[in-house]
Amino acid sequence: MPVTWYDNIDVLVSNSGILATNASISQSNSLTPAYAIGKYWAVNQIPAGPMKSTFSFSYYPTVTGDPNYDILNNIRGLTDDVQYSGTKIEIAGVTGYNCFLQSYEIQSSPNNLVKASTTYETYVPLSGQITSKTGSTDFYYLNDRIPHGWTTYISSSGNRLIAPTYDFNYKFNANWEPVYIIGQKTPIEVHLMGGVEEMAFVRDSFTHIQFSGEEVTGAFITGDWNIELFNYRLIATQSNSGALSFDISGAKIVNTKLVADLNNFVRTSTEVKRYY
Amino acid sequence: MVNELGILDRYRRENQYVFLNSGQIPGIQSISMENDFGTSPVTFIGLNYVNLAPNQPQEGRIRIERLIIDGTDHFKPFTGNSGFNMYILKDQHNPTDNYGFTSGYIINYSTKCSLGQIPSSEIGIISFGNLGMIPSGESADTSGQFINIQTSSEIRNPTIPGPGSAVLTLNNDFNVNRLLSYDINIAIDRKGIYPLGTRYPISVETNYPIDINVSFTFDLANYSGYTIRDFPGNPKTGNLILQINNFNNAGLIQDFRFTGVTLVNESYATNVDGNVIVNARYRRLNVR
Repeated sequence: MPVTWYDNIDVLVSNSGILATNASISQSNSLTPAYAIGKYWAVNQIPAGPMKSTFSFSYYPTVTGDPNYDILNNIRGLTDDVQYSGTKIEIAGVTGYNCFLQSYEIQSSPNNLVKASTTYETYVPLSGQITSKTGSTDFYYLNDRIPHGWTTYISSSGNRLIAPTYDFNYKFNANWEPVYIIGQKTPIEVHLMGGVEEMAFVRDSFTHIQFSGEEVTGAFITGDWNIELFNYRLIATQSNSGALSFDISGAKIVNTKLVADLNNFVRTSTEVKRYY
Repeated sequence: MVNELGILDRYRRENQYVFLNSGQIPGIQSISMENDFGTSPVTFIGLNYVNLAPNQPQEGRIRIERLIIDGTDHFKPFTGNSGFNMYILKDQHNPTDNYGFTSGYIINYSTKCSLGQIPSSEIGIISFGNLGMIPSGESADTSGQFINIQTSSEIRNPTIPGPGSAVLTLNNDFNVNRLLSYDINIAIDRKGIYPLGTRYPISVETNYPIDINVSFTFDLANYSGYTIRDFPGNPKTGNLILQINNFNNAGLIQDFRFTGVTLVNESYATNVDGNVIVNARYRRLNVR
């Protein structure tokens, strides 16, 4: 029986293809041993928590048509989670419904393509079996829209920051809480209890933390902040085909670290955080 | 291009002029320039199209072999933290028709000589700027250099050293033993500092220490070899002076001076066909 090779499967988030370099599904089932008086060994293993499936991706994001980025923005813009029911995800024919974005991370480094990773969780059963691709996702255009370190800009009020930044990392983590009722194996609702954004910048100047709760605006830079990741073709065509944009306004400095090591220049890493 | 005989033209050594910034360098034996465009295939799960995308620094690698045939070591001013440009021209008066590189930094410099050879040097260079056909208007530097190149004069009276006109001093070893060859190698690790938002480095830094290795091969006459256990208690150290002189009048062409070199490797070889040969390698690590 032939195996299914990586180039012959679909990786779909909200029915849209992504440029995944790694995709996985992990299912877990919480169990606890049941002991009884009069018995030396456990008499059985019984459920001790909800069933959960986690979808994980490492992928090349794209400046347009990236479903993970769109879902991230959708969640960040929620004012009420009542109507939100997650998304559909498929890896090699195995499909999860009502998948909730658990984490999103994007990393831009000099001279490299931007890489991203996401995880989703679902609390309902999966469906399907490993199968070859059925759709005809055309990656021709997506493949051309990958942001790059060459075209990652930190700007304030539309002006690009002159002070060099050597690395940028953005993380978002959501706290979803499924609500169960007796008599049902799957949750009746899943609530968004909170979220947190963390951003880290590597630079060559040290930012002193002056007091707890210090805002990034003012201490790190005056004015507003925006990080934009453009398609690398911007350097050749000068035409803006869209960007992944992250607003840092309102974030607070939580950590600053100076690193000196062999064969490198002295760098500082400053982490800022914003809660939702 | 088709020449006046109606056949495809070709470039040969007589119409390849080498300029470092705006000065011509004599004695070049070979130059190779490697342009790695930094492409990487973007592969992904479910691929039905693979694009080549940039995924590493765009840096050029250059290697130059040169005979030391004039009194100026053209590359010596650039063993520090200064960069330079280089152009190969078909016609000195038309520098826009060039193949060259900008923002070059020396990463390896070696000079060597054996019996029967003219002392030569080999220079390894990394280019952080452009590599290929350099346009005149690339920078103010290139524009100025293209103007100066056209009036630059060629050195017509080369001074030729020979193995017999190289003088090497180290611990008196070569007054009592017959030196057959030497090889001085200086490795300089350069790092381009790249921030986000550009594909050019904002600075080029030297990653110290600079590693200097000096190797000698000599016929043994009166040499007290060291034992492997002499290091670190009683290492063999010394001050090295290498003078390369004109073989005609012994006028100095080039000299190298390294203080505090330490013997780090020694081999002793004997066989039925020849003399006993000793090869010794000394090392020094230069800091800022």
